[in-house]
Amino acid sequence: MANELTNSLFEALMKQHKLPAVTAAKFVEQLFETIGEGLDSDRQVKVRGLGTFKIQTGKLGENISFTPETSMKELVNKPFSQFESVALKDGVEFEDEPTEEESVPEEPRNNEQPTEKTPEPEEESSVDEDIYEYDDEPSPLRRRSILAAVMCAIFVAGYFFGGYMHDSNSATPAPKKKVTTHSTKKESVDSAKTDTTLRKTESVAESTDTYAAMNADPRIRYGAYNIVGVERTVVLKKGETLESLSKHTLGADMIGYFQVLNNATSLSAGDNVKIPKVELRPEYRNRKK
Amino acid sequence: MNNKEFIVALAMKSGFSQEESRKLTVTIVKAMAKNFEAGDSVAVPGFGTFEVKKRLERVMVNPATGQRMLVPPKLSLNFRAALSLKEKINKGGTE
Repeated sequence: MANELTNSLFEALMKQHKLPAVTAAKFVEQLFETIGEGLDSDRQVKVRGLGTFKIQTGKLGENISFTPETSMKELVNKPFSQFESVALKDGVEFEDEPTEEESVPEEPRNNEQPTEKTPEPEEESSVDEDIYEYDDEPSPLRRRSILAAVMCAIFVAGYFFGGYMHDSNSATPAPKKKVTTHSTKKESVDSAKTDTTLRKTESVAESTDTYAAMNADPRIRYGAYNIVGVERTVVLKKGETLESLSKHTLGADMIGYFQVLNNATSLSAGDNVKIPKVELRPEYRNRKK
Repeated sequence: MNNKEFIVALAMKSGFSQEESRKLTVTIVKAMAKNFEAGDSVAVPGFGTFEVKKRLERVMVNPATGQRMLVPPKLSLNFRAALSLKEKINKGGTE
């Protein structure tokens, strides 16, 4: 009875050597039979690329040991290949646990292990830091690209939504702008060290600052409110974004009003940001409740 | 039995030439390696199971120098023989 995993072995034979299924499966069987017979007669069998099987005499009988070949050992240990043994400094205490064996988890949690095991933190802080000489470049980079991808997706969705709101005449500007935003956004996320810079859609075409013109801005034209003034002005702190500001004042989805009033979509710490004063548009007054 | 002898025996059993047997063996070993690389085990009925197991970090003492070392975690390839195989070799062993 061939199981799923030996299937992949004979399938490889079929694919690579164009053997019929029966022949391929039989050969896999014959290979391991040969090893077994070799063990029986010689007590030891070496298979190149794989490793060496040996019969060892134990108290309870004879056991079969397997030692992988060096190349195979390295291949298997690839995820942990950057680690090296490190000398323990004097006075460092570790719980001397017997070697536990567990089946392979999804990802090696190397970061957590050293800190978990140190019972005396004061003395061991130096050990924790330089204990493993490994590269942690992959995880931050991956995190950043995931963040970039998610933010891009959010912005793209937002623009599509904005474009959808337009009538057919003005539909074209929205999609075009989307493309340029995409690229600028990616760059900014990758190079950003803090969360303060948040670049959104393209810059506003408006040059006038009158509220009437603002309220006709595509981004808020179909909103339930009109901008009627400036509630107050705040200086942006490090870590704050238009989004966070909007969330804490009018509400997260009111961010469009912020953008239009300040005529900007990107911010830096230290910028002055006007918080819009809004009033419910007449047509919504009865409907809103 | 070294690799060469193994191939000879396999060729005799399977009817393939030695060269062909060698190539087929390489293909099988590579397919196994692919599984191991993904952390998957390979079970061969009637023979045994190859498993990838994680060894946690350990404190080791160098017997010569007395220096204590911290050995990092690693993944190792283990083999567990099937009972039928164990029986087979025990039958052939000396009493």
